[in-house]
Amino acid sequence: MSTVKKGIVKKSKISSSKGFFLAVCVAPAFVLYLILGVYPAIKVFINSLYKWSGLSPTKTFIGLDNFKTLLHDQKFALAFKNTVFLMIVTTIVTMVIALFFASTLSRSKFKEKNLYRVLFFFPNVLSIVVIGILFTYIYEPNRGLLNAALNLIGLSGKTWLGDSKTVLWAISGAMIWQAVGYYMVMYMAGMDSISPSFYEVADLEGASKFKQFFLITIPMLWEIIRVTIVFFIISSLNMSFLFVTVMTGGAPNGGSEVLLSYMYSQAFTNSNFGYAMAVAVVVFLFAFTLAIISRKLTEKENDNY
Amino acid sequence: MKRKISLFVALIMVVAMFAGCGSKTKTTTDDDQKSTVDTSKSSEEKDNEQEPEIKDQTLKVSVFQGGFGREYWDEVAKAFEAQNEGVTVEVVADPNIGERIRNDILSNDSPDFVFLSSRDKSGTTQSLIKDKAIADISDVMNKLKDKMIDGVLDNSLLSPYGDGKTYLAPFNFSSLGLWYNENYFKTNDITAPVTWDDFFELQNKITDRALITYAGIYPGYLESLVFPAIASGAGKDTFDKLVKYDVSTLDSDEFKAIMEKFEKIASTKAIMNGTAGINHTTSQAEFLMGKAAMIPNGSWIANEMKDAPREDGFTWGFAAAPVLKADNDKYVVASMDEMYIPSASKNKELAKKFLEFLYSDEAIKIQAEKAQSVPPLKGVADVIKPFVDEATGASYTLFDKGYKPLISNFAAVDNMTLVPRKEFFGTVGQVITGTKTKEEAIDYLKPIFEEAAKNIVK
Repeated sequence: MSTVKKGIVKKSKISSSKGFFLAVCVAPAFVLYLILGVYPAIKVFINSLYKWSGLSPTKTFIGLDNFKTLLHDQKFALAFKNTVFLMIVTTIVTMVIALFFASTLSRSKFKEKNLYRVLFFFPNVLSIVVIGILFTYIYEPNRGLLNAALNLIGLSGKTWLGDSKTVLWAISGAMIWQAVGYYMVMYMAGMDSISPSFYEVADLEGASKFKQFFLITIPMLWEIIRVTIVFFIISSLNMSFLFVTVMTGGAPNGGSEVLLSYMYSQAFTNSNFGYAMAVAVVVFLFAFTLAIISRKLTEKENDNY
Repeated sequence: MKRKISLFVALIMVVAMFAGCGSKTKTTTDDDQKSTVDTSKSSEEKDNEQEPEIKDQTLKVSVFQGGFGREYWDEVAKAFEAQNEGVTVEVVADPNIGERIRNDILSNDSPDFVFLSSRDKSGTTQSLIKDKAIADISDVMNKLKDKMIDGVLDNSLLSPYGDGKTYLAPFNFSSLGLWYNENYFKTNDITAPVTWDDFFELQNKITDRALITYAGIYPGYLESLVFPAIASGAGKDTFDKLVKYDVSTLDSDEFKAIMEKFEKIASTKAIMNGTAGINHTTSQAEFLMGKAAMIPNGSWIANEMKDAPREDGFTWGFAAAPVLKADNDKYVVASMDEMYIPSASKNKELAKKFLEFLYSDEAIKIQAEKAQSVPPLKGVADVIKPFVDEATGASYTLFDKGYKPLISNFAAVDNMTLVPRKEFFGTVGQVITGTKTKEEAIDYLKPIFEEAAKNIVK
């Protein structure tokens, strides 16, 4: 009995000291995380309760007034709407195109497979600023590639970036072009790990390629798709800011403003830092909620295979 | 034993990290900015700071490095040092100087002197104006008053609070108006329009291109056309009321008459197709290639586009914005980049001396030669002529030909989420490109003006 007790005591001593050692080792990283990650985030929350120009050492506490103003701010509402639009359109189109190309390339037998993989990934090597400028030229009304192509097939061109009806579609085109290759490569990596025997059996049983895609590829890839959707939704918040800043600056007359560009313009153009921080808080809560919702929506039993 | 050593090592790591964080002077945050004291200096050094000797003074000059380069600042700093023995001028030049000085000021390390482009996007100057954190330089400007071009000093741009004091000093002086291809005009026997009627009559002579284009997605460029049109058509008093958000100006017949002209630009297709969706570089390139006959812009355009392709035989021509009637007062927007001394500067007097030096004959010559620009002083057109093209040189002489400089901007506002200037030019731009009627534009602007009027910074 006493031996057992001694053993338990000894074991618990070892595990507690091991735990202590691990805690001490992790502590520097944890403290750095608190200083560089948590503290600035808390400061953003605190500053959103103040009226502050961003330079003055004096700040006026106004409680939730910034948030109350947000509720009635039509420009903010428009920026919110535009952000949601870009998120939905770019997420759906990017994922569909990336899956289509990944499936086509990974199941094909032609030798140039790797070349296409590199070519599709290429936009990810370019800076978003460069891509934004490139697309500005493509959408240019008089000499742009898009209008020239439309004219060739007898359609009239448009002022893509200057018309509030087309500007968001034009921006989402650039965002999709930039992102497709990256997600395609991720899906291809996932598809390569699916055992060919699944497809061989399906072939023998006469399943069409279409059925194989939906009944084998998608379910086997679902975990990766889930992660990439959450990842893309969050990153599209940042991407939309960069593309809007480079391509339109929020034009026409705020018609393409997104949440982060609105936050930026409130902070730096309008010297309204407290209010900009309130926008940042909303963006944070929005992204956080979206991440949870999208994970919940894409949650699926994956243990059938 | 091993366990003790491991624990000891881990403990040292944690302590060292905290020590690393704590050993430096405390990071300055907005909360503790006031209380942060530099304890690293000896009492002897502090005494020296209390009674600074000129030989020990270093003037920290933070300047925007843009199209005019930094060579001028280096040269002028040397010239100032040569005149003031013992003074060191430390020039920090950066295309993003607005962001840099924002960080410096927040870190309690304000520059002594700042030059920022009027097109700076950091909003730093606007923040400092709102915070009343710019030093009063009226004493320096009063000394220079007689040397300045008439009408330059007394305006909302340099005196943002309307209290009769000057806080910002004018630097690069540019004329803003309509630029055209003089060779094309001469070849086709066309003269630049003086009135709006002349402007629209050009459509009978110019058929191979649109009359006008501008940077549609940056409608602020319309300032060169819209502000003079309002000042001449509705009168300077009405214009002054407009920039102070007097909502009655929007309803005045004169303002509506000008808006009708803008509406007519869209309805007669005088505006280049696609203008609404292009930026400044594209609009300028299209103009140079002969897609539009005129473009509203500043005198920096020739230098900015010097390497861009253009139609054969292109030469620069410059005209003031059209007026309603030939006998109306004619205005040319005078753009000036701003220089100022932050209130937090530790060497205000030396900074003022430096500011005054920038308007001396010696500094003006350096500026014309190295930066191809001049301050708004009388007679500067002759100084700059040898260094710029003919049309740019001529744009400086308009003020000697009866054109009045229009130097103004919308009054600074607080407590507003909308930026009135951005809204105003964005809306007028929509009228010019045909997406809003004048009535819709006025209805849109009215509530913004009403709110802005209540929130002017005083």
